[in-house]
Formats: sequence, C-alpha cells, structure tokens
Amino acid sequence: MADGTDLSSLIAGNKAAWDGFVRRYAGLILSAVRSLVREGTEAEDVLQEVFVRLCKDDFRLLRTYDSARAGLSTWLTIVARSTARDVQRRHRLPQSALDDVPERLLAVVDVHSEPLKLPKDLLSPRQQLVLTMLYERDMDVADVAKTLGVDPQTVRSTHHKAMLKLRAHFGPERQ
Amino acid sequence: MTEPMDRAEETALWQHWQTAVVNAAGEAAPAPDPLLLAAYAEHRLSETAAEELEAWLALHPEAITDVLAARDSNAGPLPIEPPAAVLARAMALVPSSDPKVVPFRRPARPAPAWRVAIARVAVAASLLIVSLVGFALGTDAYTSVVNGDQSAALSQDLFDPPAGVFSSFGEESSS
Repeated sequence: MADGTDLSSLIAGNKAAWDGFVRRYAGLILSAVRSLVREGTEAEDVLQEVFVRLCKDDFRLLRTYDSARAGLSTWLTIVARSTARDVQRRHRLPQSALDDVPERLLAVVDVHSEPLKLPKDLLSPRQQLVLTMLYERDMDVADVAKTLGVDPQTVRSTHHKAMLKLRAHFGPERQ
Repeated sequence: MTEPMDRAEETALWQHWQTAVVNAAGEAAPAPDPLLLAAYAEHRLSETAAEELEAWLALHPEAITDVLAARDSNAGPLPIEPPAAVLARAMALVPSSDPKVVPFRRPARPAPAWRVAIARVAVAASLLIVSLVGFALGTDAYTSVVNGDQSAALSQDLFDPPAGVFSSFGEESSS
C-alpha cells in the first residue's frame, strides 16, 4: 500500500480507502495491544477505540501522520498502545476513600529530612534511560542495545559510567 | 581504582537516584507526540531530539515497551486475524458517500392554480346552466297546468290518441 496516496483519499472521506485501511491494519493493531489488554472483547473494544480516534473530527489524528518521519505501522503501533493504556486507566478500580484506609497504612517514613540535592545533568538522558531499562524494566543488555540501536558494549560502558557518577554523588550521603 | 560494585549496590544507587529524580521532576511532563516516539523507534531522530525524548522515557518506562513493540511491528506476518464482525464494526465508522437509495414513487405534482380555477369555474357554470334549464322547463310546465288552456287537449291526447296512431290496430281486429 502506497501509504501517502491512500491516506490522502482516505482522509478525503473515500469509503473504499477506509475499508481497505481497516482490513490491512486491524491485525497489526490487535497484535500491538494484546500484551496490554485481555484477549477477546476487551481487545476488540480497544481496536474499535483506536479506529474511532483515527477518524474522529474529520480524521484529525490521522492528518498528523507524516510518512517522512516514521513508517505507518510504527506510528499505528504507538497510537494503539497509547489508546490501550488510556482504556486501562479508565477501567482501573476506583481508589478507596481516605477515611476507609487504616491510619497505619498512611504513615510516611521520612527517610530524608532534607530534599535530595540533585545536580543538574548528573546523568545524561541516555544514561538515565539505560538505568531505567536495566533496573525498572529488567531488560538485559542485549535488549537495551537493540532498543537504543547501539552496541552491547556501549550499553555496559554507559551503565558503568552512570554508576560511578551516582556512587560519587550519593556515596557520602548514604554513608 | 574504584571498587567493583555488586548488583545490590547498583540497584540501591539506582533507586536512590530514581527517588530523587521523581521528587525533583514535580508534575509529569506531557506525553510526546506519537509521531516523535515512532521516529525514535526507527532511529530517525537527531541526537538532540533523541536525548530529550530519552529523558522523558527514563521517567516513563512503560513507554519503552511501546517503542520496542513499534520496532517489532514491521517484522514478520501478522499473527492475529480479526473476526469479520470486528472489521465490519470498524468499517462502519465511515459511512458510504454514495449510498444506494431506493426511490419511492414520485409524488403527483400539484396542478397549477390557474388550472384549478378554470375547473372550478367550469363546474360552477355547468351547475348554473343545468339549474337554469331545469327552472325554465319547470316554469313552462307549471304555467301550462295553471292556465288550463291545453288541459282538455292534453287529456284527449292522453286518452284518445290521434287516429293515425292506433288505426292500424283497429282495422286488424275488425277484419
């Protein structure tokens, strides 16, 4: 599918172009969200929600797509997963009222009496991201390297340098 | 030479850092445009733009899996085939621009006002003429009866018709 050409006719309201777009990308969208929602009705509802977002307000979201910046499949995957997360947030169980929560659970342990001083640019954004992937997402070095499009050794080096900086900064405070 | 760190120490340092960053960040930055994330997933961003996005990703690790999923979206065939009903529901979001309309019988066009006026005048005239003729005939008959001038002749005509009318019957009976 020559996306640029077909999207133009689709945005113009061409019914056949829209039907072809749905047939082609519905499977991709379902694949993109299946790790975030339960399969079956919930996944199908998210699929419908994605298409609603795409054609809402005279295809306003679809008009923002620029084929010169990214591929359509890539962009649709991002949009689909963002929609799935929004649906998840809406379906989350309501929070308990504050009065219903036992007081002992509300206690806050004051670990630091003073706010931590954070020097600007202590870690570069790349170093922050590497640490987040390794420790928050529990990814291995190879996956991080693949995500960032760098060599695994570069990831190890970035990680090591970041750790040295953190140790140098927090070491005296932690002791 | 710095001492090598074990995993536990590294994890603790990272958590220390994460707490400080979250506290310092304040309100969460708005999510970047999906097209920006898609461009990042395809390694199409400049170094500066990538760094800015990575700073945001470090604080929103769930978006990292979105980036990974977007990268995988272009690899291999789609494993999920949506049901036909789901596709139809999505396709119905854009109505047909040229719907098949079954025409009803064309309603009778109302006659022009002048034709209606002429018809009504004709009916009225007919009624008038019939009324006048009827009145004239009736008047003549009434006048004749009242005056009695032709009453004897009339009764004679009724009971003793002219000779030529039934003369042939009389001759046949006598013969």
